[in-house]
Amino acid sequence: MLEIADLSAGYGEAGVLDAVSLDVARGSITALVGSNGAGKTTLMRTVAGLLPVKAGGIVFDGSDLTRAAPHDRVERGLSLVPEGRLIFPGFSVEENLRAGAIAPHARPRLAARLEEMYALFPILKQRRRQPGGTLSGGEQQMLAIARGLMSCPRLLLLDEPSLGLAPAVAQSLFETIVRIRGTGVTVFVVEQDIRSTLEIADTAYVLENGRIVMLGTAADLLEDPQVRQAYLGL
Amino acid sequence: MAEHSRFLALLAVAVAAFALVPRLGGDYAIGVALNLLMWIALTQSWVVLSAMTGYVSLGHAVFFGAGAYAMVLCFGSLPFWLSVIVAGAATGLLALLVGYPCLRVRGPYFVILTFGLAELVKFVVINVEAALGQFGRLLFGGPGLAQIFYVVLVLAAVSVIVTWFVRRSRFGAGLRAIRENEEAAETLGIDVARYKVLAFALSAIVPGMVGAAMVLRTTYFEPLDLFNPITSFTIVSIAIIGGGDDVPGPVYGALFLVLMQELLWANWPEVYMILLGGLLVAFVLGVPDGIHGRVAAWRKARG
Repeated sequence: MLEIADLSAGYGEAGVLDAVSLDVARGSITALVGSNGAGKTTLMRTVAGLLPVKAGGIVFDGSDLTRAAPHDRVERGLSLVPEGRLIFPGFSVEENLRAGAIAPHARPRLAARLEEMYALFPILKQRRRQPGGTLSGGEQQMLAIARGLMSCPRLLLLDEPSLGLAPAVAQSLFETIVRIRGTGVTVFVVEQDIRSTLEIADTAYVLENGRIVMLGTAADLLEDPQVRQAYLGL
Repeated sequence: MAEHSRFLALLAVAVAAFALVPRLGGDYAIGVALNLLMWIALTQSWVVLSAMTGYVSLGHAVFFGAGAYAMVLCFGSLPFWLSVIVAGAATGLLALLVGYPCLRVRGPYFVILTFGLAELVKFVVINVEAALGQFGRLLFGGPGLAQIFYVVLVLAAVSVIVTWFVRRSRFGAGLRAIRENEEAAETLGIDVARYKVLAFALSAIVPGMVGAAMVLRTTYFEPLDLFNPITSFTIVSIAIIGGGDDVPGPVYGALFLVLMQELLWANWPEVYMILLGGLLVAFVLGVPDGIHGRVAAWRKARG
């Protein structure tokens, strides 16, 4: 569904990603794991169009997105939930969700989609009139994900969704990701919590210093001695 | 829908009441009401850009002045009302041209850039006038005070309508999302560059038309007056005093400022600016959400 080929990108002169290639299969949960500074967020921002591509290409559902503007990518069914959530603190929960459906293709489905999101995240319905900035960290992450889903994406990009969450909250978040895949949305997730991510993912890639150093089924990587030693501390 | 009809009814009543001023009041009353309407029109326009997106323009005098200059250039060859429309088109176009490069920078850089741009245009006009051998132009035979008043009344009503409907539209939601977090807005599919430039152009048209009408009141075109940065500062002050990103803020702010002007100016002209400065400081420190914010909180408390 998403094919990234020999992608290089970064900030200004400094290259962060060095010829990264990966595929996200339709209907899968695909994970990209790695330590701090490996280039995970840079990859997500580049796929969403927030950073320009230096070399290589991005193909989504058969159409070339390498040079497409961020709003074009949303229009074609790609949605990024950015690192740090970036919810709109002064908007109420419902206004945040409505803003998520601002793309022209999402507008007609707004009302139905809002109900779907409230069914998926009942806590948001309880808090619908509350300013987004007053929610707890876990609730804000739920809000950010629901807002990202409001545009009815076929591929959801999650950038470090468990960042800063208490372990129990993070655990329920990973369960939520599985439920989202169950609604027919393909999920591409970038994470530092490697064990929890590999437990829910189908396929995984390991990124180190801007390069893919390992790939395979998530189950295989969980058993891989190198991964266990370097990332799981076993 | 009920909200829209109530708003439009209230607006119609207000416009009708103002329309009576030239019939019932003397030149002094018309002058005060004209002043009030002018600041409402200018600040409503500013709100569409700056209060909604958070890109604070400290150079809105450039559109007021450029509109006045467009009127000067049209004066004598086009009818009054047509010149006003030409002025609005010209300032809207000016904003489209400068908007794209200007809106690439954020925060304090954008503030300084708008201020610098207004000064730049002012001195360009001064130099063009000097090259043309013009040193202050007299504009005789223009419309009378009442006619200017009605034009500015219409412009104030238009600016109120624009702010009201933008604030409640998808476009307005996008502008406010940009203010809350521009990067998040971009990931939701908002074409942020286009939204910002459109808001900039929209916020420039009415001020240009107001400038075009107001220059005829003084019957004299002097770039230093019409591009006066005090105009920009006053707009921002009214917006801060009024508060919010919706229609009521500029109305409260302009009412407050014009009342203060009349009271203080009449009684203590020598300390007028000092008092105004003190009030602004008091509002920024003590009432950051402005009169509108206080009124809303008071209403909510009453249920």
